[in-house]
Amino acid sequence: MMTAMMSRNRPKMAFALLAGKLYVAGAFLEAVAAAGIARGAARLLLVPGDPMGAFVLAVIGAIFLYGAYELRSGLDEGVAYLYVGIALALIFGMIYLLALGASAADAALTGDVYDPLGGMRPGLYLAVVPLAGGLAWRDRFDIKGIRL
Amino acid sequence: MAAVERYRIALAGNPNVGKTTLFNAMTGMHQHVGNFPGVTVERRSGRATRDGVELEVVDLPGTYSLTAYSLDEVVAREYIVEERPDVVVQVVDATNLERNLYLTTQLMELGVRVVIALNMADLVDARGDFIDTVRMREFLEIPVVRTTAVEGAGVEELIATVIAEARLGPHHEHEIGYGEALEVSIADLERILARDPDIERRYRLRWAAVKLLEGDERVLEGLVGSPVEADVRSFLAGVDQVEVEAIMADKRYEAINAVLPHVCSRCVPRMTASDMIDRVLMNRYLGIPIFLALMWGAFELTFTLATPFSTAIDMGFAWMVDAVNANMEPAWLASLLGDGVIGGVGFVIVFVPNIFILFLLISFLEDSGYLARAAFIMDRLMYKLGLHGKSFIPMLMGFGCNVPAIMATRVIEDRRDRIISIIVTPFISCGARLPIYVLFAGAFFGRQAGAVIFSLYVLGIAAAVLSAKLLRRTVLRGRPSAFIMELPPYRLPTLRSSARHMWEHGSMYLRKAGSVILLGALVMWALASYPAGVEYGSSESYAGMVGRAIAPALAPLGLDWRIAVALLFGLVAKEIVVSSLGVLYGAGSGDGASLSDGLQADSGLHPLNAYGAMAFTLLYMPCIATVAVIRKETGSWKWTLFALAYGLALAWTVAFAIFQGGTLLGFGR
Repeated sequence: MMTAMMSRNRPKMAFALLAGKLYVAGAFLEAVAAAGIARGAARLLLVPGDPMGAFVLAVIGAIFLYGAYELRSGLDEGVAYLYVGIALALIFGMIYLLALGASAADAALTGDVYDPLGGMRPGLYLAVVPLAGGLAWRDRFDIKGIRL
Repeated sequence: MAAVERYRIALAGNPNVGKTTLFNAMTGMHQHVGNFPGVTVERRSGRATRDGVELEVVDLPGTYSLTAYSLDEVVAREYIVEERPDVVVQVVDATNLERNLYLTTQLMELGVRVVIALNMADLVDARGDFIDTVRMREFLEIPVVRTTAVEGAGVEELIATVIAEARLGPHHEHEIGYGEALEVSIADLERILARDPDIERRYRLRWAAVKLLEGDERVLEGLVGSPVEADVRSFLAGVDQVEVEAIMADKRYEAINAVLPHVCSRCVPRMTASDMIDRVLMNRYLGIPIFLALMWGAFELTFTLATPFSTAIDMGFAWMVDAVNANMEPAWLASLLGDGVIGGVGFVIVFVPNIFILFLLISFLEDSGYLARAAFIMDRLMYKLGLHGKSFIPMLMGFGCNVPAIMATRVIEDRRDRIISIIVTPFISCGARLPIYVLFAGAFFGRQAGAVIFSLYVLGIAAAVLSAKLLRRTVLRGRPSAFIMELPPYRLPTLRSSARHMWEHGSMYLRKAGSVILLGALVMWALASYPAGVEYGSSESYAGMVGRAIAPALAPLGLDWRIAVALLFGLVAKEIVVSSLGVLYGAGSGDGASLSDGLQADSGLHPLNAYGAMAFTLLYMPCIATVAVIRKETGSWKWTLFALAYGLALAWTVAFAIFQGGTLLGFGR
């Protein structure tokens, strides 16, 4: 029974592991950039030096990795970490997207030059991965009844 | 003549499981209600006679566990532990076995003879469930009798079972394994307790050791005067009792959940969606980081999303000021309208979008059920630091306005806990302080403005929590009482309800803009314009004189007389700080410069003392309305003055540490 459960959860476990590693890597890069190290490489990867952004990515990454660990241990409830991780990643992706839109609107009002890449954050473009997961398991998200 | 066989029977159980109904059915309504000295709650006793056996039946107040928190629970626990009835009948709500069996595990540990009255069994049948009482008896080694107290069904069988159980010899105890590490601690503590024969007579040693490790004050008080008291206290000093209590609760539930699938066809607890979400959001390691991340997200969005709206309002006011200055005569009237009204009130209105967005986001978090979880997450930390867990709910309300937040401390029963909460709640940053942060953070911290604003809210919480610990260790000594809160299920917040909350909170600032802020701006304009002939807003004006009088106190914080006078006027209402700065910095005086530009142009201001100014604003004396409510709720001028003096001293110290410490570290410019 345990083997069947683990087999059923394998795609979710792999996804949680991948998303977790990506977010932790993003957190690391953002923290490194915030410390003033490898700024050139960070700029190339559109990673600003933002300690709080790094903290948020680390939290989301930890949630995914914890979920992967539980699923690997045969704990079916580990999917809760996967789904909540996806939800949080999308919430923060939305926050960054709204911030980007607000900057564009402000630039349009003041006549300042708007640089969309300057407002890019790892929390925004990394959210594509959890978005794919959210779409793949969308039938598991019943928002009205908050069902997982 | 043969002696009459008499037994004392206690009816125990969770609240609202039908104990009193069963009591009436057993005793035939012949009970009397007796108040016992020293307690404010009552327990009922009555008599029942069957086949020559007399039973004294005592109906105890409802309790969820034998770790007593409230007075009712203390009465129930003390009767069972100290007066040792012959049999404890635990009335179990058959429709909620898991929660009810938690008390069963504790009664079993205590070693008392227990009979389970499986009440409301008819409801279980009606929902198509089946509870196997034979297997339940086998697993628990406790007699189980089905009852439907409201109809009197099963009562005679229960009484016969109770008499049979009472006639049995001493009952053997059941033990729940708490894991290797805790078992070692239990055994060590048992060895210490065993050195006092009096304790061994009063308590079952393992039970006493478990309760002591859980932090049970009553059992600890029972050791006062014992030769082993000092050793026990010394042993417990090295134990994290909150942690131990949580582990023990988990182990008890593990034991219950191991039994349930064998005795009940459908009542095996399944995790609901709320349970699943709570596993993550209330995870002991991830819970606080997730809370901090979400709060940061809220402040980041508050700052960035409001920017274009604020810019548009700012541009509108700048146009109005230009129009007034270009077209209005006489000059003093143009100055009154331009510098006083528009410069003062306008620069508060500019920040209304920030306030509305923050309240919308807080409403989302509250309506979704998350803020209740945040209180639960913080309770553990706050309890360790000496603050009552219930304090976090008023503190959350304090993000809106400190006045209702202080009134909300009425939910805290203990007076010392309440006074501590009242004193520290003003450190929670209310919405009126947000414009000040947005102004300074926007002017001096650029892209990091959201993070800087977030850090101020965290600083406020930290100041509140650490002050509580300090007060708890000094002027208001004691231990905070525990609190139990029911968590609402998660819901998707509706835009309509959140928008209504946002308007309720946010519109208050618009009303204030037309009243107290307008008045404050006019007073400030008059002080900045006179005596006649002085340069507007200069240090020779009345405002300058007031500012220069108090500026020496703020000089070590790197703040000049203009900030000093704005802070002074902020005592009326915090928004007046921004409107005063708008007047004093001559923003809106026709050159198209914003207040933010004015602050940046001030050579005396830079990120370090700007942050110090924000920290000072956060912590110094609250507004007049808050002071009035502190006086009302504490009923004491002494505590009110103490709260004011403490806040002022803390604000000065923190701002001093930021400015002087930062300067020493080279962050001065």
